[in-house]
Formats: sequence, structure tokens, C-alpha cells
Amino acid sequence: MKLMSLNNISKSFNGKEILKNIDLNIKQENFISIFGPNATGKTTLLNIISGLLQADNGAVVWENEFYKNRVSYVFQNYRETLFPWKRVWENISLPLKLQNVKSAECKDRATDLLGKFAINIDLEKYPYQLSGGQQQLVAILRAIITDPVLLLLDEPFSALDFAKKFELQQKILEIWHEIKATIIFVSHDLDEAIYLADEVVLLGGTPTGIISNVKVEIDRPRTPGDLLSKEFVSYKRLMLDNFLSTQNIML
Amino acid sequence: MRNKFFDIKLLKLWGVIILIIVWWLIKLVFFNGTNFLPSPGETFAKVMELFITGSILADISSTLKQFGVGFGIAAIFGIPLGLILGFSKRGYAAFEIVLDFFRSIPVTALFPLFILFFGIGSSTIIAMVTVACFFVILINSAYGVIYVNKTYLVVMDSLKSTWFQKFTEVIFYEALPFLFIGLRVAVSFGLIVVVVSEMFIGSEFGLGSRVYKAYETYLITEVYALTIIIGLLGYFLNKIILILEKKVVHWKGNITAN
Repeated sequence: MKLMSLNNISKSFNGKEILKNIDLNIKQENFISIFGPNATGKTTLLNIISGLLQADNGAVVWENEFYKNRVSYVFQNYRETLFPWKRVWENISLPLKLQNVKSAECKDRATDLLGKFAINIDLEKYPYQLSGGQQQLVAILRAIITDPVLLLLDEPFSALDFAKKFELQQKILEIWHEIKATIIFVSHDLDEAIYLADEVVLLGGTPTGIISNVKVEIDRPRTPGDLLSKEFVSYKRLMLDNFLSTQNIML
Repeated sequence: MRNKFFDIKLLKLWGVIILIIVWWLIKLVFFNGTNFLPSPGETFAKVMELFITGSILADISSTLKQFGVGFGIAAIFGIPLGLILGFSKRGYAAFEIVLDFFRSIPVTALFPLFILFFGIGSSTIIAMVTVACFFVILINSAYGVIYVNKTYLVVMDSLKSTWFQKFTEVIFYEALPFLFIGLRVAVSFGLIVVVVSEMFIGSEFGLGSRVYKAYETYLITEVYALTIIIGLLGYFLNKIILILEKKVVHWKGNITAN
């Protein structure tokens, strides 16, 4: 079942074309990774999908208008997206508060959410008392407390250390499996992009377009051991070839 | 192991001790036998005497009252007006020149006008303090709103908040650190103005008029003692605001933990 499609999206900033002719169909409950080097307009694309930005040309077409308001967005920099004057539970349940849900219920819902995913974070703490990984988890929980149909994740783990990254990758797969939302996951780490996704969209070129669109058919549930499997490596080779063919990199 | 005399808390006392020693030396070397400068011992004895006899308490309470009322009025009107003005770019632009003009007038220059309107008495003193505090509080509150972290607002947009929710959930808190800067500057301004106004008016009570009366009757040691009391008052008022700020703006300087 289709969730939405991007039809021929283009976007310029100050006369410079950033995105050009982006066409993409997004299926419901799929996990899609968008991979591309830095400054290719990945975040711009997410902003357009979320409605924060308007495309200059083309359209975001939703299968059902009501999906449009069920999109949640997790930004890259958790330090600037959690509110330091709010406790953890207040941050997680902020979207509910904005819909005028009573404080007691907000707290209950935040507590339930933590329990559901076996996450152990003190709800009474403030964000600055948490580790980076915990802060990003809080940001993710804030995004899913409203039961979104589409979850946009913008390089959520890029600031985390190696071990924490693995841990949160498993967690996001677990969450995805549970909430049955579509996830669009932006990454500049090819291993991560392949490991998590049903489909990897490769962005590149100037202005940025879609280089290739590869379905990843590695069995789930996946474990970090898959990163070394023949299958995984062949996907990685394919995508690297696709990617390098568009860059003027001599090997 | 560090010597505990150089512990940071004790170090703060060193400055005070050095000041008193320097004072004492200056007294001995330059002013011995004159009454331009009393010794630290005499001065502190005078401070104690003023408190023990209780003669200073009415002055302190009068000064604090006039300062407090003026500061309070300034905060009650300055904070909300500043927040609103900062929120509306056009509103701020429309009033920018007027605000900059009024805050550039030294409030003491308004003294004759205030006497004209409010008479010789505590209303004039309170009005002077109010005006002195109002503009710094207002302008700093507005700055707080103007310099709000834009990422926070994008997050609020993505959560589909109304502008009113942006204000109550984000902008107000973001403005708090600036707001407190305004309050602290206002405390210093207000104290200067209350003391100077009391001197001009020669009110019955108040630290300013008390200093002036002591000077007129040549009670030099008392002038010094009163100066120290006024200094301590300012110091503690500032500390109170600082402690309040630490409690309210608990995240400041803490945002980038780990």
C-alpha cells in the first residue's frame, strides 16, 4: 500500500538549485534510508516532506490527506531540539500538551511509552542530565507519542559513539516493528543505511538527484552480524559502484 | 595536595582582607591624625553601633521600600511589555528610536520634572527608581525574545504549535536569561537612583539623606559607615537576584552536558 509520493520535486536556495526532479514512491510501513554525502540536500528533502518547506516545483502527494498531519520529525541535533527547561516526561509528551491533553495524562502516556520499549530513563530528569544517546531516544519518543504514520529521522545517530550507535540502531528497528509506521531515515553512513532499510535511496550529483533506488532483501530481524554477511557486502558493493560512478573519484 | 588557604571559597575572602589592610596602611601613612579617613576599626565599630542602637533600621527600611516599590512597578510593566515588543518585529521597530532616546536620558536629569509632578516626597523617589529600572528591564526582555534559538521554533513548527504555545512553551523560557540580566542591571541602577534622590530631597528617613546629613554635620566616620552599609545592601540585593536566577534558569551553562 502506498503512503505518499514525491513527484518531480525541485528546490533552489538563492538561485542555486539544490534538489532536481526527485521522484519517489513511499510504501506504507517501509523503512527507507536516504543516503548521500553531506550538503546534498537530504535535510531539505525531509523538510519538504514534513511540510516545513515548500518545493519550488513538483508536489508531495499523499494517498490520504489525513496522513499529512501524522508526520513526526526527529532532527539531527538533539541538543538543540529538546527543551532544557522541561523534564524528560514533559519533553516526550509535549506534542500531547500542545493538543491540550491534561498534564497527568501526558505523564502517564510518557511512562507507558518508556515501559513499552523497555527504556530506562529517569522521567524527572532534565535533558542536560542525560547522555547523548538517551537524549536522542527522548527525541524519538517525543516523535512517536502521537502515533505517526510517517517518521522522519535526520541522521539521528551521527553524533553518537560507535557502541551507542549500534544500540540505538537496534532500538529504532524494534520501535519501527512495534509502531508499524513508515520510516524515512537520512544517513551519511552507508553501512547504517543498508543495515536498517527495506530500500536505500542514493542521492548525489549537482544539483542533487536520485542516483539509484535499491531494495534490500536481507532477512529480518537483523543483527550486527549481518554487517559481515556476503549478502550485505554485495549490496554495499553495488551501492558504492552506483555512487562512485556519479562522483569524479578515481580509484 | 592543595593548601586549603587557596581553596576557591577562601580566596574570595582574601580580596576583602587585602582591601582592609590597604585601607589601614593608607590611613597610617597619609591620614594619620586627620579625620578625612577613619581607620577600618573605627568604621566597623560605627557600623555595629548604628545597628545595635537600631538608629539605622528606619533608614534601611525606607530606602528598601522605595527601591522595592519602584523596582516592582518597573518589573511588572517592563517584563510583559518587553516580551511583547520583542515578539513583534514591527512593534519593536516602531518604538526602537523612542526607547533608545528615553533610555539615553540620565534619569537624574528628569528630577526637576518629577518634583514638578510628584512633589517633594517619596512619590518622586519611587518614580525616579521606576523609570531608571523600567527601560533596562524592558529592553533586555525584548532582546531575550529577539535572540531566541531559531531551531527551537522550527521544532515547535514541526509539532504544529500555535504562536501562543510557542510563546508560553519556548520563547518565555528562552528570554529568561536575558530577563535576569535586565533585573540585575536594574538593581544597580535603582539603588544609585534611590540614594541620590534621597540626598536631593532630604527626606526624613533613607540611607541617602542619612549620609548627607552626616556629611553636613561633619560626622565623617558615620559617612564611611553608611557608605559600607549601602554597599552591603547593593551586594546582597544582587546576590538575591543571582541565586534566584540560578534556581529559575537551572539549565543555563548546563545545556551541553556529556
